[in-house]
Amino acid sequence: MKKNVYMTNLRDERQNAWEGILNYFRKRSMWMLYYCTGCGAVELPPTMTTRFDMERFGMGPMATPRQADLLLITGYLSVKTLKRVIRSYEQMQDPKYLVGFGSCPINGGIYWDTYPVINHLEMFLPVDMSIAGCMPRPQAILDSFEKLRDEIQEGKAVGYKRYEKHYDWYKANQDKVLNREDAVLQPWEDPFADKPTLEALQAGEKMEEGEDK
Amino acid sequence: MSNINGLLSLKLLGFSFLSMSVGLLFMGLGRKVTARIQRRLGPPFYQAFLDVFKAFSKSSITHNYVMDLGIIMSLGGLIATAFFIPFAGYAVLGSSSIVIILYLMSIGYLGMAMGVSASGNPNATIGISRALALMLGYEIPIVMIVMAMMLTYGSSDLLTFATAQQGGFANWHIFKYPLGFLAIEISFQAMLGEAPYDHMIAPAEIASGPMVELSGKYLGIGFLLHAVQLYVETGLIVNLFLGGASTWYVFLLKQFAVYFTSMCINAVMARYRIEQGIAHLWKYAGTLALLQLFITRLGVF
Amino acid sequence: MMDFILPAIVIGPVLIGLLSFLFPRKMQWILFFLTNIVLLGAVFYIRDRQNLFFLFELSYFPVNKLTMGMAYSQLGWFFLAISTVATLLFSAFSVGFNDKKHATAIAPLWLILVGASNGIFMAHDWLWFFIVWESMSWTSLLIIGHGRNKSFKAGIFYYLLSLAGTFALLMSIWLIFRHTGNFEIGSGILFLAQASVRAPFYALVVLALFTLAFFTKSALFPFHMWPSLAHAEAPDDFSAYLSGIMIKYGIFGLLLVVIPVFAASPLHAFKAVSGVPLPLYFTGWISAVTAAWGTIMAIFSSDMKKLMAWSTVANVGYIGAALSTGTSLGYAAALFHTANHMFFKGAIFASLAAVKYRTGEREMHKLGGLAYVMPVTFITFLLGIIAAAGIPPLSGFASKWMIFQALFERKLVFQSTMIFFASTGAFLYLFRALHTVFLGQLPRRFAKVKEVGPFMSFSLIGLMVLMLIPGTAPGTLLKPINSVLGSMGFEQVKTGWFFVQGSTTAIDGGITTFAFVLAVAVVFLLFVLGGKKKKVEMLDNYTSGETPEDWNLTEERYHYGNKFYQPIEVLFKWVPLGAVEEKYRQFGNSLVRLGNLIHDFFQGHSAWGWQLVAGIALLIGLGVM
Repeated sequence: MKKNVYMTNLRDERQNAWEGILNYFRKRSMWMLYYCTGCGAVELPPTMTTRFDMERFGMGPMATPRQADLLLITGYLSVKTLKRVIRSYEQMQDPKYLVGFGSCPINGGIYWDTYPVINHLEMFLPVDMSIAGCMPRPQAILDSFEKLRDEIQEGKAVGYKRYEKHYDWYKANQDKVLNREDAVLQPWEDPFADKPTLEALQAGEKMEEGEDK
Repeated sequence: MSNINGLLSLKLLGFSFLSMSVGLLFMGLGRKVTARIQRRLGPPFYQAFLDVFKAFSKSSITHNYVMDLGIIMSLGGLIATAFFIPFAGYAVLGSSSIVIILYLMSIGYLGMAMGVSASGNPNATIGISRALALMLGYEIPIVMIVMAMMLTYGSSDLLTFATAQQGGFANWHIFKYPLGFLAIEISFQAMLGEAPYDHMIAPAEIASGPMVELSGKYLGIGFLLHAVQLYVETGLIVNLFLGGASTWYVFLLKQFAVYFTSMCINAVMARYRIEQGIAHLWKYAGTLALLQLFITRLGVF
Repeated sequence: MMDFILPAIVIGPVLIGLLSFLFPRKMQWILFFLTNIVLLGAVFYIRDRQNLFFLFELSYFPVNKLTMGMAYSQLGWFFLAISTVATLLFSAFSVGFNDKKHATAIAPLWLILVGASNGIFMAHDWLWFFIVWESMSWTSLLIIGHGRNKSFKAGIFYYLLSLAGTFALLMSIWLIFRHTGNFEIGSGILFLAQASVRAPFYALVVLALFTLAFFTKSALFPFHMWPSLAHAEAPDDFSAYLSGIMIKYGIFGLLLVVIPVFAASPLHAFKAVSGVPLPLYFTGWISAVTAAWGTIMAIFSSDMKKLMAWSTVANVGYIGAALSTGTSLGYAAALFHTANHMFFKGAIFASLAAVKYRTGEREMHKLGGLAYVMPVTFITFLLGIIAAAGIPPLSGFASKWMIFQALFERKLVFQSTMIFFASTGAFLYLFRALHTVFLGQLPRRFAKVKEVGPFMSFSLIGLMVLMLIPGTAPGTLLKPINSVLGSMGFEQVKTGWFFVQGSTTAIDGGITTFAFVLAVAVVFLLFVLGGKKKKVEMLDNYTSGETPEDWNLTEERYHYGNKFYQPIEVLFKWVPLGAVEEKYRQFGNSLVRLGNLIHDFFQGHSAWGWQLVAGIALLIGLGVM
């Protein structure tokens, strides 16, 4: 089985000085929408409150996807919740960032062989940052946000552009699990075996970029 | 009408940016205050500027033309109100009639209400319906106090009230109308939509109410709206009760003092139910204001 | 100068109305529209021709040499002018409105009503006044009824209240006539002013009767409930006329008789409270209560026409309060608000009629989102509610501001508080109507609704202009009002085209509008500079991540409209809002009981027994037995 657990970085092609200034504001003011599907949510209150105080970095909770820049997937995602996450992500406005908490969005974690749980979040949505650990401690969360901020400044956190560019690929993957019709309790087969991987897509992209230059 | 010219337009332009920046500064400081009360470090004091700038840089959605119209009308109306607030003893339009201020403020709210209702999200409309219901609670006490002052001075010009308080602490209306000040402090909390009267926003209940469908620059304008609202309403109280000011920094300090009080209350209070909130406003703010008006009226007879 | 133009203005429409019974319906409406155009020309032709009159002698009265007829007065002309302008726009609307599907047969009656209405404004004496007043009453009854059972019931209720008012009017006219021996209005006022010193009680009774008559017409407390029935059940295009113009007859009457008497009689004749004669102080409070009551009822209404009818009641309350201050500023404010209310309430009712024309729906929460398909109607309604809520820079603000100035001048702070409560409440119910009808989700069955036709749009745009101009330049209306005040011998208001001087401060409509436009321009610039926007469909909404289709969520179900102000309803649960109606119902029930008793006596089950007893009693009484 080919796995695509990469923090892929699609550098912004049209990165210019103005975009750099905007990126400064984007990294200094990140509004979060946390999708509390799993146990990771419990790590957020300490991160936000007195001890670690996330608001220092201009990060704060927001009520709806329309307002938010940052979508936190705090734990495992079942197929049912995936549908909601996709809708929420698509309702967010560019630029938007997606962060997966813990090992579950990376590889399924302890639920890797459970039929209603999806194993690789980045097959369905563009993940800008994954935080390994089960669960990641607040220090790890803050550390990863620090890293995400650097990437925003450098114009590397462009998952939303990747999603736009390879929408067909993501959409096909989403449909595969969301519109699944065969019985779930059957000998397991990788539904994504014959799909081109994201790596391959990116390799093609790099070639295109090279051609541009 | 005769004094409309280029210079006035420039001044008004300056005042519109002044009102927005002052409000944004206060919002950042207010968050800092709340953070310190909660024993946190809090964001930098200029955080609100960053937020608004970022919001404007984002892409956004609109549902229809009414949403655009309403949002533009809301901030426009409130900035127009800000022109009528005397800033450090200077009324840029030459007039600061309080009746205009109270009514012109409504166009800001109407625009906001219209814009977010047009998004079609019931959460937004519920928030608006709560805000309007609450308005019935806090407008009446404010008007009664304004009328008490009007009885004393025979004028309904805000600048007259401010200049009447010159010459030391003792002349401040806080001491002349203590009941009125208490009433307006309670109403002010509701006017700003801070706890215990934050029914309108209620993020965990109705998904931030009016702001539910606002994204990108729409949300940015929403933030600016709150900023100008802060400028207008704190300016109103400073001119009514805290003696106005002759220099700009004293005026700003007094404005911030008013907002600081409000933020301190906001940080430690829970939320009322809506009808409790209105009833509370009428019961306490209303009674105090009525008493104040009655006392003043008797004095004038 | 004896001239036939006055009878042409008054009797002309009546004759054309009678004539137009012969024509087919479409022709009737066109005739109605054309007549109004001609009327407008005629009304502006007679402007400022002070000595215009038309009188005829009633030679068959043996005792007195009585005359009856019409005469020009500045006050009457002002009412005539604004009502003619408004009627012209309403008639343009009606021409578009009364197509094959919606046609009603009210055009000829309406023409007669217009004639009667002009007659009221041009009345020279009580006799004429009473005749046109009565013809106005029964014509409007027929129009409100317009052949529908429910409407006819509402009409009957309206007519009964009117009838009570008419009796009061008749009685007061007779009380004056008994002493003066003629029917002239001017001499009546003079007599009452003199009587207020010699016999204040007598004057007070006459004035009270007059006030009662005019209060019933203008729906002031305790007659505040008839508009919610009559305005709501009347034909949709007629509601604008009913609410805009007909409700003002009472105001006109008060200005014609009651106010001059108080102005002419010395202040000590009646006791005075804070400079206001006690009776006026009393009516001031009644008006303030009316304003608040109407507002609360409007907040609770779910029928859009009823809501606006209650709003009319509240607005008449403001006007009444301004009149009751007894200051020239108050009279100016009342006249100004009368004109403004005529236009903005006309605009509101016309746009609601446009909505009903296209959708056939009257319950507000069943509508929604019509702004996206009917932009002109929406903008008209929006400007209408901005004006009605008294928000600058529209017309309603200037007049409401003047009402407050008049109240402040007399230091009537508690009445002002009540009025202000009503005014804030107005914002609540007006927004509710705006949201539930025009904003929110557009039900799928109305997705194909179109904007109304050219005639109706013309009318709506005309009303918009009439709401915008007096807000920016109050002088356009205040200067004619000043000449009215001057002709009545009152002090004039200090005003320019843009500038108005109140009792406590001055406003400048031009500067307010300029500031607002500039602020909007700044925001528009910010808006354009911001990031790009994308249009999404209405159901693409925040739904906590759920897909609307999964839950069978339709636009209708996603529209928040019913029980809009439930918290306030909870708060006002203890207020007996229907108490007055209940009293009327009890009175009606006792009448029915009395009627039944009489009926039983003649035709009941044991009528013969009663008749026997009565017969014996009669015989005993006569001393036969």
